[in-house]
Amino acid sequence: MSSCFLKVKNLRKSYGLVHVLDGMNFQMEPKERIVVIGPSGSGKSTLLRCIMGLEKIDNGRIEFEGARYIEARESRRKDNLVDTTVRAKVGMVFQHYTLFPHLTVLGNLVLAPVRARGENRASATDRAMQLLKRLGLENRANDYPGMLSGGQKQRVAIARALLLDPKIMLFDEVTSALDPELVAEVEGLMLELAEQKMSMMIVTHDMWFAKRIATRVIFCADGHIVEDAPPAKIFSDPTEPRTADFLKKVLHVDTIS
Amino acid sequence: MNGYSWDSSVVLSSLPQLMSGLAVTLQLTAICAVIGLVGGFVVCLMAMSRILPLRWIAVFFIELFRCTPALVQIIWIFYCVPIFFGIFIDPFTMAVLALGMNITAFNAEAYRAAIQAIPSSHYDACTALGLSSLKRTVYVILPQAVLLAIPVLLTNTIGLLQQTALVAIVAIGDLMYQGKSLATQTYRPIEIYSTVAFIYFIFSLPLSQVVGFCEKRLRARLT
Repeated sequence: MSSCFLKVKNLRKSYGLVHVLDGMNFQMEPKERIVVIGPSGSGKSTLLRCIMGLEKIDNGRIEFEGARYIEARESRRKDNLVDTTVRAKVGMVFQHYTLFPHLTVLGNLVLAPVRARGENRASATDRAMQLLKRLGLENRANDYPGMLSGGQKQRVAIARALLLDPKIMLFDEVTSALDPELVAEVEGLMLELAEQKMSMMIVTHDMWFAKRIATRVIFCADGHIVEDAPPAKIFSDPTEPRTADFLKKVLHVDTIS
Repeated sequence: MNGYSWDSSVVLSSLPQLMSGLAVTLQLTAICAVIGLVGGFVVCLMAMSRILPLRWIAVFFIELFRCTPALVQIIWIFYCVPIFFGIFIDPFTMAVLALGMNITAFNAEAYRAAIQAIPSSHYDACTALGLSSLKRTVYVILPQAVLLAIPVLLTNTIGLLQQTALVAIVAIGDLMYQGKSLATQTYRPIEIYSTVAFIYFIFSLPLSQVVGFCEKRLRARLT
């Protein structure tokens, strides 16, 4: 077994007759920031959800740091192995924040460290407050999520995932539900994480942000990886005509500079 | 008022007896409300359980009490249970049993609707955070469901207060029963029943105000 950071091998996932992921293969090195782009229905979000272990895969295997993480074989459809110790190293943030409304910001942050990891409450609270301070949200610690703006909610959601010390963070369209003027604060936080060399996989429709944060861009269509290249290459001189066509549509211009 | 001469002295002189009836009504309401809050929660968990027989029992129970009139349930429990099962208990306990099971069924539905209103993305978030399904249920799903269910639970409780009037038919000395007997004793049903209605209203109104207040507060918090 090779010891690469994240390895997705022949990943298949279908909903009924629709093959959302039709045999996907790629590898990722630590500290890479892969942005996944593509038309809707191309399987971008499903890919992230599979890596998080939220979807049962039909076939294929995902390895993380050389360890078997998720595996399924077509012949034994129900046999879906997910190693939860490996999953604990993966963090994910969703489009709709998914903060728990009955808990305060601090309650949301310490829930998993205390209840899932068995950390004592004092030390989890301490770490949570430090993190909130870094994000400039320490004065919202005792507020309920309903009292926060969308941008603040999403930053709290990111903090909640970070508090579990993930080795890789998955971002599934985390700015899509935000008002335009609130996008910057969330993207700013992600750029900060990039500076700290966090490994990330990001699904986004914001091509400018993709170009700025990515070390690598994967263009998906119909459950396949069509093109996999550095952002400078893919945005200015895409190899595949399908990539060029997609970028032209979303950007209304030929390239972005 | 169509020449009817309203006699306030009847109202005043019957107040002590009506108050003793009110005490029974409130007692009945309070006991059944507690049974309903706890029992409804348990039956709801059973109805959503993965263990099929448990689920069948719970669903049968819920549908039985939702699909028959409360009045019929009370009469049936009073007259048929002793004959079928040879169980003889005091009337007040019988009334608690009947009304308690009725509200339990409706509250179970309220809890179930609240649990189903929690978006599936919260289940995903729990998985991503590494919470087991038991911990997810205990710390994320149920606390939210209880909060979401509060307005409906309170509405059901107001309904319960009104429904206790049905036990008068099996001779339990509640407010309605005392009213009925005073009406026949005094030949003044208009005064008596108006007073009875007013008393029910006075005790239900604050509860329904509380429902409105809770709904507003919860909407602000849970969105």
